[in-house]
Amino acid sequence: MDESIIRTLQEIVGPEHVLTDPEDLLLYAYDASIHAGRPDVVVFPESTEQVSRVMALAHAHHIPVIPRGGGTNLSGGSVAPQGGIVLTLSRMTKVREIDIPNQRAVVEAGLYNLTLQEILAPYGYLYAPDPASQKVSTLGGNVAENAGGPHCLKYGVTTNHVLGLEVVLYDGRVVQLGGKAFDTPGYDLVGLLVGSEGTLGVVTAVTVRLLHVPEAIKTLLAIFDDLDGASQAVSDIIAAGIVPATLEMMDQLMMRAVEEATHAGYPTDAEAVLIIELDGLKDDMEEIADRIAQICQRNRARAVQVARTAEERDKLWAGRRGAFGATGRIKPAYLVNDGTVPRTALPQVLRQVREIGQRYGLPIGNVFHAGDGNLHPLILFDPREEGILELVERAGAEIMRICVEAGGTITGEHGIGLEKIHGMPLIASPAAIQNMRWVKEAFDPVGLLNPGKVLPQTSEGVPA
Amino acid sequence: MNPEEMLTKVGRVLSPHQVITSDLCSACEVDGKRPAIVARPQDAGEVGELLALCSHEGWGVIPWGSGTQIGIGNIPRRYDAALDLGALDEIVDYDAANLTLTAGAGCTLRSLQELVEGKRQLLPLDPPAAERATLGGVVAANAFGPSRLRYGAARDIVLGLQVALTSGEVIDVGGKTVKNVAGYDLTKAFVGSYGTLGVITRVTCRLFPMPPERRWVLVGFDRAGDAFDFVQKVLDSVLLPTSLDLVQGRVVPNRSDVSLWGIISLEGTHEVIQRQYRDLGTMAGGAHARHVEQLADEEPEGQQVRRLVQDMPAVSPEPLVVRLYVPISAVGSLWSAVQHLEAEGQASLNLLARPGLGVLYLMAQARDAHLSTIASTLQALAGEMGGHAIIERIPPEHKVHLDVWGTPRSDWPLMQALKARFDPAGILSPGRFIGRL
Repeated sequence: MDESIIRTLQEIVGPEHVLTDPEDLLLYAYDASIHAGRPDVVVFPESTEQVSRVMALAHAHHIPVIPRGGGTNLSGGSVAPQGGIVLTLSRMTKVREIDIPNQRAVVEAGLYNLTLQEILAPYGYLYAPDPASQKVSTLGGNVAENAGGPHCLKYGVTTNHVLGLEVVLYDGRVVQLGGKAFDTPGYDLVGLLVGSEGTLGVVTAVTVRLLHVPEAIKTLLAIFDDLDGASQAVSDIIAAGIVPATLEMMDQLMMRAVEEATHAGYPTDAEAVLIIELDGLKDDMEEIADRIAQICQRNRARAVQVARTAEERDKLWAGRRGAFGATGRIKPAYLVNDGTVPRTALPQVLRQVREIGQRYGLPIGNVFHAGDGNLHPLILFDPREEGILELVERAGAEIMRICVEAGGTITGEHGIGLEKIHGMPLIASPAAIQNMRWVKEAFDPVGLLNPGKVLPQTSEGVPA
Repeated sequence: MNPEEMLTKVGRVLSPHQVITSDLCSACEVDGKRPAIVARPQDAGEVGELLALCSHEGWGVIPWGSGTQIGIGNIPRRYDAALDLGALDEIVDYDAANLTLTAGAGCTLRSLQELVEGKRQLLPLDPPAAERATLGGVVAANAFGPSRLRYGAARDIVLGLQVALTSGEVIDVGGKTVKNVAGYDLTKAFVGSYGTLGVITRVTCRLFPMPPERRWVLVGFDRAGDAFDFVQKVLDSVLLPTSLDLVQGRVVPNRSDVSLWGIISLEGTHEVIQRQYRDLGTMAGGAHARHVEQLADEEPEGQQVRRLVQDMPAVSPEPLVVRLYVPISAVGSLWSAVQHLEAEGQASLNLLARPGLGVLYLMAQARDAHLSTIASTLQALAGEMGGHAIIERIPPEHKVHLDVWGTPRSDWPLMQALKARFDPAGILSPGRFIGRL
């Protein structure tokens, strides 16, 4: 990259906030996926104004820009396969406003999800989306991916909780989309930006909706000796008209990894567990918990335990949230799938996933949002083994295909990024992809924002 | 446009019995403009072919459900054909076990609600005039009612759409899972786009379990200040009302002589409802309420109350209906601010507030000459309070100099760019959306 551009970037954000050393750039070549792509420079703006100037500069010189939050992306969305500027928002962490009477907060994009929760807790409020990565994933990144999380079963995903965005456009213009009030007249641009994976604009601040902390919470652990029983129980709970706050499943392989790492109290001899959390008013919680326990027992649950203390509950959740990382004790790398299916298809799809693992000789662990039908099969592998990556990717592609065949989709919350771009034609017709391209052109006519992500480069879906 | 010539061309797409001309088109007037033809396609493919034809010919076309929301919008710049989607009334896929329903855009909301109620499920969209409103129309307008507080609006409930484009192509966007991030969320682009980007031909919705019990709570107040104190307490509590409305006037029949009603719906098990009723009673007492009672939803009086809060903006006879949005804590100040209009003798008002949503409906009777001034004043007022106002109903002559959506903001060029790509010939509801897109 031209020296003069680096110098201008240094002027904009300060020399100490620009990285150009090869070792530093290598660090920013990765995210939490198996993809990599090294940027030419990494910048850390601290204000919207600085982001705007960086974007204007990039536009003037036709340089790709890859917005980045905490780098927890699971689909290669924050790596830089075409080089360019990685625009890291981690210094933009201001809480601009906690507005309890209006049940809103306005925060900058680099704030961690969990930090926001911690700020809100003393007020008795929360922000509902709670991705497992919340300790290190940013609100801006959550917006870019339309992040979910366990509690999204009851409360919906990021798009249901974001009302306004401050966005820097491809040429440096700053626009405010939506706001504290609902239904800003015109097209739902906030709805389009959420989940657009940094390809339509750089989100610098987010206006979110806050919910009151529920009066009561009850966390159950249902233990099963067979996977089918656990997945059937999921369908049966929903069919009984119960909407728990969470309905998570973890299989034996994952529990073993988690127990080695965190000693959360999961039964490593069981085939599967469900982590079922109820929240709301205390008055009928016992009764609903009893009904859930009965449904689990009808599906051959070995036991249904109740977390007796907040500490027990926190340990279960710490284990669940740390599950992806814990697999490092089995194999050094994983590819996590994110297919989502109508939940009645879960027993069949889980059997198919297991069969794919056996056929390819790859260990696959499952820890996922069962109530939403949102699978997370983790294909575990050692990248040093020759030829293994190709096998892993083929197994991953097969899992995407079976999810689509079961009436579902290829990704529920992790995004398309680079990883699933070949899967897009499974889920969107050439005409639908062309429509997405129109959206891209309307927001980023030059194509400099996070290029090569989300949309296949031709409408047939074959990257050029 | 010469109707004979149009008929000949449309005849290549539809059979003669699917097209209406002449005086019969008066039923599809919009802002005093009458289309030359009304076309009634049988399926999405025919909708696409018609749109392609309109694009080619440059004919302005407005999609119609049952017309319950059609008055919302600026005067059409051009209006040659109405697209009656009533024949797209197929139930495509009712997947009760997965709580999803896919149905044609022309199905009435009521028929779908009856269908799913048979399996103790709920399609929780309750816009005004739900008896007649079609699914496609409700989604195109992102229309909502009181229960948005608990369930969200069409924007939150719709999982996927089938849409016919002006190119003639028919696409599916979204799907039937709640979580889906495969590509851009095009569903959001079409929901609430008022028939200006494409024509919604089919909708997949999320369903919810039918609560075991539903009840209405009526709380009567003498003063607006007391009512809003009560509302603030409820919203800042752990209680989970499904809806919370305030209605001005002696609107609840056979009740004591109070002038302002808080109308709340509660859902859930009997214990949960009664516990909330007790808590609401305490809060109401603390806010000097004159009257507190509960009604079962299935009783005739419960149904009357439901229709009152749901339909008020549609059935009120006033010539001016404005939907104002502000941050939720500002609804009380907005309520008193608009009452100056009445105090100053400019208008007589009917008000319906949804404080938890930050929404106030204002229905005004005033001298015709004053209507557009009042409308602009309200748009400015909402803007000052951090919100906006949509003029839902006003006689068309007032729309000439007034954008019913308010003044376009910094995001408008993006909207213009989207419109230009989805509808390059500018034939879909032309001129009706914000900034006369």
